[in-house]
Amino acid sequence: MKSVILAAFVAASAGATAQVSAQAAPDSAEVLRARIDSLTPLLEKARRAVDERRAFEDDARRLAAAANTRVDTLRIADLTVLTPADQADETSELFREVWEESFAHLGGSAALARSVFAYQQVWGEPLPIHLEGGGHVLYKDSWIPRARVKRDVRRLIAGAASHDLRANRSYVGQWVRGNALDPVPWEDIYRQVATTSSMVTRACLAGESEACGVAMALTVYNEATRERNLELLAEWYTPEERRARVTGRFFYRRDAAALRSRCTETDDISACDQFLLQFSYDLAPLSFEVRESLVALALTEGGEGSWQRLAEHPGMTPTEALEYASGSSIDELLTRWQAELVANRPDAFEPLVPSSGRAFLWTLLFAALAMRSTRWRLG
Amino acid sequence: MYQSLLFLHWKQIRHVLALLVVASFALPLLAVHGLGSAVPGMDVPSLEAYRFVSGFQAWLIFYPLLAAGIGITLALSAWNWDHQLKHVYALSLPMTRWEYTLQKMLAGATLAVVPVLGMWLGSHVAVASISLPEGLNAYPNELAVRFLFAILLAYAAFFAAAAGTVKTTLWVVGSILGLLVFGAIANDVLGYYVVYFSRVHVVESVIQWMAYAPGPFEVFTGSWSLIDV
Amino acid sequence: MNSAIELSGVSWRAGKSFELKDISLNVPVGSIYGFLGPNGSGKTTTIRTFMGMLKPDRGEISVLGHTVPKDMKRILARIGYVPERPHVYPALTVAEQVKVHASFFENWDPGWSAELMARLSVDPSRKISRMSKGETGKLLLLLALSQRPDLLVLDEPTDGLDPVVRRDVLSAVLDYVSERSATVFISSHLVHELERICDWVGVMDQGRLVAELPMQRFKNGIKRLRIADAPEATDAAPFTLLSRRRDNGAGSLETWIVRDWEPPMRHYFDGVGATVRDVIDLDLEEGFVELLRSSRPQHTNGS
Repeated sequence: MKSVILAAFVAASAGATAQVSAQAAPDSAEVLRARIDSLTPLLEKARRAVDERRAFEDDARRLAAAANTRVDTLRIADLTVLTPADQADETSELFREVWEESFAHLGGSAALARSVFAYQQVWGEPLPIHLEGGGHVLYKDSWIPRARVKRDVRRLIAGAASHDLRANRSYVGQWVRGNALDPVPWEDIYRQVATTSSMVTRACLAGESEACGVAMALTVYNEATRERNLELLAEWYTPEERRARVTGRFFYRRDAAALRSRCTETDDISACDQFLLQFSYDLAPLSFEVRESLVALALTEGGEGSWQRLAEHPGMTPTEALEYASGSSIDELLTRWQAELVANRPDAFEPLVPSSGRAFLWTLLFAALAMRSTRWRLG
Repeated sequence: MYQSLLFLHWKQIRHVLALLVVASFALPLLAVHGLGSAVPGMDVPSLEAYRFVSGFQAWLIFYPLLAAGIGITLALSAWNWDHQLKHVYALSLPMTRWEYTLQKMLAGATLAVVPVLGMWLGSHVAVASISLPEGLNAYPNELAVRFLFAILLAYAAFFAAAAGTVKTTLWVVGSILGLLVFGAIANDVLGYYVVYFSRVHVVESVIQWMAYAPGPFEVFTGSWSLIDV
Repeated sequence: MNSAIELSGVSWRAGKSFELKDISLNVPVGSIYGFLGPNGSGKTTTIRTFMGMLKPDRGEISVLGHTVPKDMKRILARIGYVPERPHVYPALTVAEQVKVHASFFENWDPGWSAELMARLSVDPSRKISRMSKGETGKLLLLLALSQRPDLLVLDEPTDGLDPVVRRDVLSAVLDYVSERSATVFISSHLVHELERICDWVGVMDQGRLVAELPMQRFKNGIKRLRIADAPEATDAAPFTLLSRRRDNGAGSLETWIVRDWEPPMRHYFDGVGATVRDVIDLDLEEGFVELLRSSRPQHTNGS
């Protein structure tokens, strides 16, 4: 029997965030009334979001009923998951596993509170769930391993939750470009740090955790603070490295050619700096992927509610937001990040000896089996 | 005796082996200079090393595939002549069966060294042909050793399978297929009625065990990167 | 050790299609033993049992005084074997094949090998894939003889060869035997070929050994008799009756084919009121055919 598993995930977005200030100081009645009035539109938006979510749920039930399938609504932590009733146990287990493994710190995510996920394992025709209002639908075949299904669920939840950071235009959101819940593996982070030709990344790898923060441009967190200045450039790169960055730039604007020639063909390092400041987009040594790993670590350190804290104050600088979310100082956080980085150095060929040893033992076993061949006599 | 079996195997496979040696030699060079690894006309040192490694990694799949191909070719060619003669010649020689099998296996394993040398040499040439970007190291010797073990493992597995009777081979292959089919049925049919079975992932578990430590084919899924941090 | 090969009650079964049934066979040391039988009678299978290539279901085997399969390594070191299908490697030259084969045998005689190569006109530089069937046959014999075996096992060695090559092969075998006093076990379905060289003969049919006797007895002991007033019962006959047939339109005359005949046995017929009109010699091939007919159940009643 060929079966198809359809995993339909619908992350339905329901409008802007309802923000409620947590710092309501006692004041005069008029001031309080004015504040309450100012909250009214936000509360209205939140109510609309809840209504919209209910509409999605009703829509799903209606479609399921048309297909003679009963749909259950599961509440797993902050997630709302629609699933056929006979698959409720398995779906619950899947989402709970993913939640506990990756999103325990996501409690209180406004974006997740507004989202509806639908999951179905299909034996034949999929349930025609396509919620009005948009969303994402993924089809999966049965041979896809569970680990991969979990990865996709994780990515979908991460994508839905990241809306919290993008929506409020927070500095930390800009610094990390919105997505911090599905970071790339540490091995890739290590490769990037190790292969970036910069004196601060070298120092970072050597153990100077402060240099890691500099390489991640913790102080350059939005367009306003993206100061293209010589001081930053000199902090990040030696003159030789700056020249190498210009030399390595194969494609450049035509009007930059003269500057590039001056940089590469003469000793004029100021030409290199000008070239970089004018024509290079990302000057910081480490990319957004590396920054995401620092945010992910801060969330893990901060535990439950850390995501909410990270997104809570859009006006905080990345350093402040990370400290607030993690409950640690930025120095402690960078120290732990650096230790994690070094501990996750990619294997390269270090474990060759044990793996080759095991391969050799397996080879001997197969050889022994060959010696014991049943073909001792012609049959 | 060993030399004779080596000579016989060599005579049979020399043309194919020559191609495999060329492939083994060329693969590291292609990986370093080929598509996705470097921009033509551009010095590697001036590339961003990370991108270089990323591009380079696209080639990594070919190393274990080539190793498996060489191992299987050696194993099947080792028994080809015997199977054609229904093992009459081998059984008429004054040596025990296990001695014959062992010497034949050693002869094939010796031949496996030839493409490994090709890979080793190709890796060194490839590494020498570029200036390694900062933060990266080359592992030509380690790569050659892994290549050797992967070839030997594939060779031994298929040599053992080919050494048996058709009945034995069918039994082994049938068992594996049976397990996979059972796994699929457990997941699909039974899982429809009993939730427990939908959580039993036999196929996935078997593949995971086979491909990762301490399974037999772990060496194939390890690192194959000639150039890495 | 009186027997070079001794099989005792050997049985072997391959599925439902074929079986060796209770084979007991004895090849005297120093003899040339011809192993006759039609195609598919079990000759090659029998050879494979005492060569250790097949494990019998029942029975015991000894070769050159050693037990099969326990002492197979020692036994095979003293056997020169020419199998039914050539086992030479097509990609090699003759010299390379000889070198490969020599490495497995301690008693290999390179001088004798070179001599045989010259005598059999085998070109050492010739590639085996380009050799004719006759040339391949000679090479196989060369390989078997050069290891100075005490027992030569030849499975249809001349099958498909032209008369000249066949003569070369057989004369090489005879020369070797006369020089070394080796034992030769030669299977064939070509009766005349064996008639000239063998001193013992065993006849296989349908998985059974139907006769084993000295060649001289085989050649002279099978006769066609014409009997007048032949008796119904032959239980007391001193010979073995292979078949009997009433002659058409000849009164009470019958034709009998008998085995183990000797002239004094005529007196037996006087005692039962019958008369022997003629005693006719059969050639080996006729005798062989009659022997096979008589051994098959459907023909034992005569027709």
